Amino acid sequence: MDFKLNNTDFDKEKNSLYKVKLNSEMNSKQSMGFNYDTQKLPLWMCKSEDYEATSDKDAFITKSTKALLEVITKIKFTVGKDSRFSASPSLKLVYTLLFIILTAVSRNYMFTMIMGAGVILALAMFPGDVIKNLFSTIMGAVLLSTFILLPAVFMGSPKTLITVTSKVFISVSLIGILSAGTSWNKITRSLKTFFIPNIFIFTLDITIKYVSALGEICINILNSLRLRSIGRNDNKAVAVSGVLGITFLKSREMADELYSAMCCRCFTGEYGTKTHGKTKIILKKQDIFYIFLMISVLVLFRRLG
Amino acid sequence: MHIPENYLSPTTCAVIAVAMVPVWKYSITKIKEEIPKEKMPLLGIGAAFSFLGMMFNIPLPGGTTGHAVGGTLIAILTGSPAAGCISVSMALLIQALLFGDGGILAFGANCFNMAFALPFLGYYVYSFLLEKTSKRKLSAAVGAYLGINMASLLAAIEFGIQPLLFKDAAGNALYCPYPLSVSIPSMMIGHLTLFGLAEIVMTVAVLAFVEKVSPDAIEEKKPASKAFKPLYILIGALILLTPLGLLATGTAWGEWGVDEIASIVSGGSKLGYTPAGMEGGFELSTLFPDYAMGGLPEWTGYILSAVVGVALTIIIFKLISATMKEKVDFAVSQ
Repeated sequence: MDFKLNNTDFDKEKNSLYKVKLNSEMNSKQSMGFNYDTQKLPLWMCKSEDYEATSDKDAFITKSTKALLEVITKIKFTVGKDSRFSASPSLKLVYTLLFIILTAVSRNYMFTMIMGAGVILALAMFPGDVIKNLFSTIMGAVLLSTFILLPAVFMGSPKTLITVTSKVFISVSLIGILSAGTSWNKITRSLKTFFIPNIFIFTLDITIKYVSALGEICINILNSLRLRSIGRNDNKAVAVSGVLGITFLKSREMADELYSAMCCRCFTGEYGTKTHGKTKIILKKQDIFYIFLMISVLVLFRRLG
Repeated sequence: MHIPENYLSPTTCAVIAVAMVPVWKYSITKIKEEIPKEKMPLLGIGAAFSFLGMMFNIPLPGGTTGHAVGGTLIAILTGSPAAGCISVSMALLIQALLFGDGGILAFGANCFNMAFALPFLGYYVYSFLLEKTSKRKLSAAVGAYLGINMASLLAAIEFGIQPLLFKDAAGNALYCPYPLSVSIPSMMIGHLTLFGLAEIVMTVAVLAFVEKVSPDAIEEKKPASKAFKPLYILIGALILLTPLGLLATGTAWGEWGVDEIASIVSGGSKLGYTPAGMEGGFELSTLFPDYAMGGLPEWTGYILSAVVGVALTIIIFKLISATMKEKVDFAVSQ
């Protein structure tokens, strides 16, 4: 019973509200002198608005934004993390290069197989999402090399396909493992161990940092371009020069700022593994294992060739 | 128990593979529902155990060999036979593709025996007995024993019906030449005794190890990743032991190569011919045929194969768990 009463009450209220709304509308029209006199108003104002945005393709903006975002996320979010058992960055660089060179040089397929087994084992140690990221790059490289080498199979040397593809797999995985297992700033710093001039390291370092900083600016500009494209804009691609131009100007500004910031923090343009004026190669306890690993791979390479 | 290529007719393979499709589908949905993301590594570990278990060949007088499968063990560890099904299937797939152990065409049949019949029967026997007796290890032992024997019986039947169904004009079998009267006793004698025992030992030993070292891995609903560490160490130790499988020199019953089969004596007489379907059959050349790599001592090939197999299974299950979405249970507030 109660419910019913309430319900009718509600209906009444709704009706009364509706009436009030109608009344107020009529009042406002009258008070503003709203009579549909076509003599006084321009014709276009009397027409009811039925604008519908024409469908616009913005593949250019979407694609560029997506590509930029992918690069930025790669730099910013898939930051390599050192595990507890990983070697010091310089040694990592050494053994990665060594293993890649040995695999490339080796003519014995068994050696390649063993390296492959090792790489797969190393991959299995990473957490799932890292493996997923790595696999997308590795599989891309492997598929590409398979595609390129496919004619070799038909021309009578199918073994080339297997050898080269597995070598590509190993090299790309090794690089992937290096970048997934080490943070970028440590890698650039470890380059100094190989007597690479400061200016190279500096450039590399700044490039990596700037790719993400400038990428963000690019995305902002692309967003603003999207917001400003009203209706149909057929030549959005013309804006590329604008996007790049503004990014360049911004980058100059930022470069000046960065340089002064670095100078303020006592940066003299030198990267050091130097402590107290002496160049020192710093080794960790874990490195012993990796050095042993390198030696055994070298021995294996000597034996198998 | 791995049925090689061309021992079963393509039609038999097709029928069994089709029968496996709903089982896989059921298992995958079941895993998605039942197993939280945190427990997914356990599936990979299980598959790795199964893979390794199948590398330890146990010789039997008379020249045949056999091995444990470990499907029931995975089902018990994860608490779901569906997980056992998927794990063993994955181990079998890697074996078939990379190591030539078990045929590609016969993959469906192998999965039906070892990944469907074995874990499901084993697990249900285990849970039934556990409820009645509440003795975990005993129930696990009985479940594992019955599971592996069921699997080998099915394999024997699949072998045995081939000569009844497929013969050429001269009356010679096209595929597996041995009828049920030979295949069933040949398969079952080994599995009822030694290989069944191996399965029991593997199941109970690993179960006891897990109970003792990291009970969190099976008991907690969302175990920390640390809980699996002892299991990885155990896998490492088992990898180093795999060359023991080389001590068994014979070939398992029903797994002879095409070159061997004509001279095999089974059921009292020598076969004397190579079945036609086998001779011209499909053969996939694999990367590591029979877990060996040319130019290396046999034991290194064995260890490397074990490493590759185990690492691959672990990678696959890590990838699966990475693609799984985090399940948030809003009903339970903590």
